[in-house]
Amino acid sequence: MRYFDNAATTRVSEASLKAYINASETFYNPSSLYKQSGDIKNRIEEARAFFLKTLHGDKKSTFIFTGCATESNNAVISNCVVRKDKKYIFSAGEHSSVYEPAKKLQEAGYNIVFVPLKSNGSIDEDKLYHEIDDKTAFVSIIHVSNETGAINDILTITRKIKTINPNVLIHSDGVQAIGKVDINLKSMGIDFYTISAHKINGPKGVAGLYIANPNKFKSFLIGGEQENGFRSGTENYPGIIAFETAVKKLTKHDYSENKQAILNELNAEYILVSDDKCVDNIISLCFKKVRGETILHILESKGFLIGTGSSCNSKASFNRVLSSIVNKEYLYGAIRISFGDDVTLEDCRELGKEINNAVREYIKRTNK
Amino acid sequence: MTNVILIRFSEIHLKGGNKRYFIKLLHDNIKDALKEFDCKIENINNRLIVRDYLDVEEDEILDALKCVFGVHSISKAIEIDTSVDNINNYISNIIIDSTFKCKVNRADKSFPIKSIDYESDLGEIILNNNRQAKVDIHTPETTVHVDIRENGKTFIFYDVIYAYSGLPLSENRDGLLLLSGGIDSPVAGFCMAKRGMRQDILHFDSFPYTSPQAKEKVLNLAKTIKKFIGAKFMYVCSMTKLQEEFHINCNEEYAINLLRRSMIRVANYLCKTYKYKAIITGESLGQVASQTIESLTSTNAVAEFPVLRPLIAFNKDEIIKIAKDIDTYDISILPYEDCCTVFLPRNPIIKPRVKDSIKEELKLDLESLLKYVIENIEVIKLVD
Repeated sequence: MRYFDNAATTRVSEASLKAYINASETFYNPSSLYKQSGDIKNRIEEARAFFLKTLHGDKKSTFIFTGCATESNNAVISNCVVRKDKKYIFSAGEHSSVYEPAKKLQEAGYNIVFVPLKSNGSIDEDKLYHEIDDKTAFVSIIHVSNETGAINDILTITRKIKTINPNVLIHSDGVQAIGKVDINLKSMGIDFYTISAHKINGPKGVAGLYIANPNKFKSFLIGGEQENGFRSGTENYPGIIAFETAVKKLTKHDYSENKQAILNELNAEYILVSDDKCVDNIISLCFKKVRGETILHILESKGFLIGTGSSCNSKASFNRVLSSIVNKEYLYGAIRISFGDDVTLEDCRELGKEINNAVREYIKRTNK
Repeated sequence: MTNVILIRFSEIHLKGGNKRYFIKLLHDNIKDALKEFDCKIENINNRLIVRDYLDVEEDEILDALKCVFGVHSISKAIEIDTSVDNINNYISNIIIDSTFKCKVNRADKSFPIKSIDYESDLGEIILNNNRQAKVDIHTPETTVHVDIRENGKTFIFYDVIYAYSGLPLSENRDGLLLLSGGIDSPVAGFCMAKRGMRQDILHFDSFPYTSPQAKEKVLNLAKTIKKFIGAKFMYVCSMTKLQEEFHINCNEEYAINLLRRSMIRVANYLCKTYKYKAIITGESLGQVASQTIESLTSTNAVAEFPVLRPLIAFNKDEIIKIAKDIDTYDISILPYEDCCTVFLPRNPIIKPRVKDSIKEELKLDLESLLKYVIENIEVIKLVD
């Protein structure tokens, strides 16, 4: 099977797996009082320092290890959305772990505003700035869209928001950004930032949250006061070490040739949602009058694993992000291809050919 | 004094000469339903008794018994040896602090006191021993049932839990249930099982036009209704090739009509091969275009076995009520498309004519297409 669904998850690298297994052998509870535990605790602090340094965190900032990106995102929202007389702004392209909590809070009577997207899936900045006012307390904008790969210019956005209202707290979900775009949290002026291990060849079950000002964060997990009180729960030591290894091994790849190799093979009618302002490891394509999931299954039978952009289902809710940027004729035909660092040009050409065949075959069989 | 579960039958007493056969069938089915529990099932005149079970499993046993067709009702009861002294003694020790009445059933006619007289005797005993108790023969909060059986045993209980009644499932009345992913077909299977028809399942899918999750959902439905319908096998037949060919070669309006006629033909084949005696569908008259009387006439025209449609006169809300009761509703409403929604025509024919259906079918080599889909039927075993 050739794997083209790296935006969903990635293969654990050998180095990360090895680090995980080795660390698993040191099983002590970091909170215990003997030396073995102290050693682990120190090692976790080392890892924390590494993350802060690598992500260029602010001096007084901290970085906490969580169980998953959903937890990091939920923790930020439950920390920041607390008053009904304030305004909270989210991009319409947020990952469901941000969007769904926001939706729930909106239903509960909080003043939640969703800012629409541009045609590539990035936030409409003019509309965003228009929404910022004295009452705005919090803004969450995904750094790189998991659906389309669109990059939001967090640095510029943060600066402009803080110029209009310096008290706004800003969060960005950087799960798809790490390793793909440069991250300098301090110069971005961001207040909270989420990353996850399993999207960068690390293991599942460990993620992180950057907190610029620890005085402005309270965890919703209450218990043993681990992670300096910011995240109770026994530390996932092997996960943390494997996560650190995954970040250390990160290298930036240029996938533009791979992307082009696929697109060169296509002659069916489609919309390329992922334009040149998107990361080049995610391609979101929408074919006309085709069912994306059927294409997925046909490709699966040919040995290629890809993602769909849409659940392609008349009864299920539409793909929220794509439905706001492409019309219905193309929406059902959404597929998502995402590269990992083991991808070859030859595989991309073959995948392009197979997609083209599958789409042609679909159209031939279903249209008169 | 022993804790037991008392099981009453439905309809079986009407069976005259076949009564013994039906009780044996019910006994066997109950044994099967309780095979995971450590207990004994005893057959006394007109009742079955479950005994020697673990207290902690009592509620699970009750739940399992409720799903056995032919069971009218069940009660958790105390069993004592029949004698006036024994019964009086037991009743004098029960605690009642509400309104109550006593209900005596004297199946054992040798018992010296008539039911109506004994009810007031027992009522008096209860009143004498419970200051808070008050008689209310119309709407009592508590009813003390005293069931005096012919075998020298008396059963005392308070609550009657009603089961689904009907007739015990029988292997001699096997049917084939066409199960889609929708709300209706599991209910149809349940209804026919209530009349004693054991069923296996036939599902049609359209992979890759439908998700593998759609098939998983149907498998989940099959596992849920298995305890009612006694299903052992699920046949999965892919209609993809047929649907594509209908789509390319035939009048679009007839797409669903032709598909449904072919589904019946596949069912015919399975009935002939595996000796099913009827085809069961969840159709309800007029619910959708394919369920008008003309559409049913057109699909019936190719059936070689009786097509039983237990929901034909049910309203949707009545069907949903049963679906919720048998725990299939929440699975059915999961949003995965099933076979019928792919290649959906914009305007499906509402009043197809059989001769037009045949005319459309002549536009392709239906026989070899059917042969192809039948050859590729997947058989899934539902029991270990």
